[in-house]
Amino acid sequence: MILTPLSDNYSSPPWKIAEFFLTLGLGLLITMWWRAPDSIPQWMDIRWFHGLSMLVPYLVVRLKWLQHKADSKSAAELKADQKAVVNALNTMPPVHAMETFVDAYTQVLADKRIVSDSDAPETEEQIKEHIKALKSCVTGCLEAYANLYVQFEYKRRSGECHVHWLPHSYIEEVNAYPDFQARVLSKIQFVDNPDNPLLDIDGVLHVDPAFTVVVDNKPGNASKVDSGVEEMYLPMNSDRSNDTGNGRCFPVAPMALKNEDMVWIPNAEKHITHEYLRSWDINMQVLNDLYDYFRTKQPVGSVIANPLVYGDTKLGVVVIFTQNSDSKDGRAVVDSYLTLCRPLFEMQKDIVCDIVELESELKSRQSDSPRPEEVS
Amino acid sequence: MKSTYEMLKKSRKENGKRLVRGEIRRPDASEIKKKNLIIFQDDGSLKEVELAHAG
Repeated sequence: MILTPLSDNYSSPPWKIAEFFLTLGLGLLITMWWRAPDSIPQWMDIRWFHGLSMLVPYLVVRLKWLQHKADSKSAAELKADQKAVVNALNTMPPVHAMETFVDAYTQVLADKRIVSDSDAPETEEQIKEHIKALKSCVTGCLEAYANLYVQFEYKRRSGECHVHWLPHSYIEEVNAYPDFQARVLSKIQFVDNPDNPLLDIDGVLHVDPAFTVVVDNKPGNASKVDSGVEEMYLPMNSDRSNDTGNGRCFPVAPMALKNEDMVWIPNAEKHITHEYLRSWDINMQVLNDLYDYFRTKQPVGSVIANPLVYGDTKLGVVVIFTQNSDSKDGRAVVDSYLTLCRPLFEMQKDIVCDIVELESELKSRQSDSPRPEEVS
Repeated sequence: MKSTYEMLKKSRKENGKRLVRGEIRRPDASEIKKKNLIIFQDDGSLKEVELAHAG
């Protein structure tokens, strides 16, 4: 069709000039037609006049239509580009967050190296000192997650970010050491069988105030311990054959560790309700206690739980939360934040593995019983 | 079931088997347990999605 293959951009200056002359010609033809037959020159055949009268309006309309088509196409391309830019801006870490990541990673790595490079601990006192130093490395990781969370946004949404590390212990470990078992029994909460709290559980998660961090979004503010945290143990309930719902490991941390998947609750007010909690195979009392816990004792808006698992070993759960709801702009941003944190998660796994080894050594010395590999 | 320490020893031993005569055998995609993100939805359901870096 005429004009179609000639250009991709019908709004360029040559085409604008062509459009001007065609419009002028159209005006001239209309005037001639209005004043016909006097204005039609003698030399022009009337058939030529009629032909021109049809061709010029066609060309004008066709050119306008092609211009409109080209403009629509470029507008659609521009819109797609803008969407890509907005998405990139939403999911790309801001520069100060990247600086925080680099500083935090380097610092924790340097601290861990100091512990690794020092002499192997021999006495109980030295083991305790090593564990204390490694625990401070874990706290360094928690501070980094919290700082990155509040910095990973262009439009400030999060007032402050709380991060807790909940180390996991298998039930065999709890039962192996009487002192540890007594401590667990005195602090365990949300159990299905209050008369026998350790019945039907695979392990416990320790909510330890020492492993908590809270950071606000004001630049340069140091992190502090989350003062509202009460020490407790959470049960990792074992499966039962008659479970029909989402299982017995309730949200957030036990569920994440049980599934070995990350859990994200964007709006706890909407998603942690009596109605939704009934989907878990837990009794009514635990359900009510959980509801009260999330609403009054530890108010939560948005929460992310990331289980740290090494091979088949469940090490614990990192819980990151804010008290305001919907504190991140959608899944892509959460995904991007978790990607940025991943090297720190990996390093924390290594540190926690070292802690587990040293604590095992300490417990075996304190209980005068050999460690498992020494027996085998 | 074992204690965390025993589990860790086993996991480390399994991981260590990847080093054979100076060659490090990286796990195949099928061997890596991919971590997903479980999202709580407004209708009370749970949605499971893959993460960009499932670590």
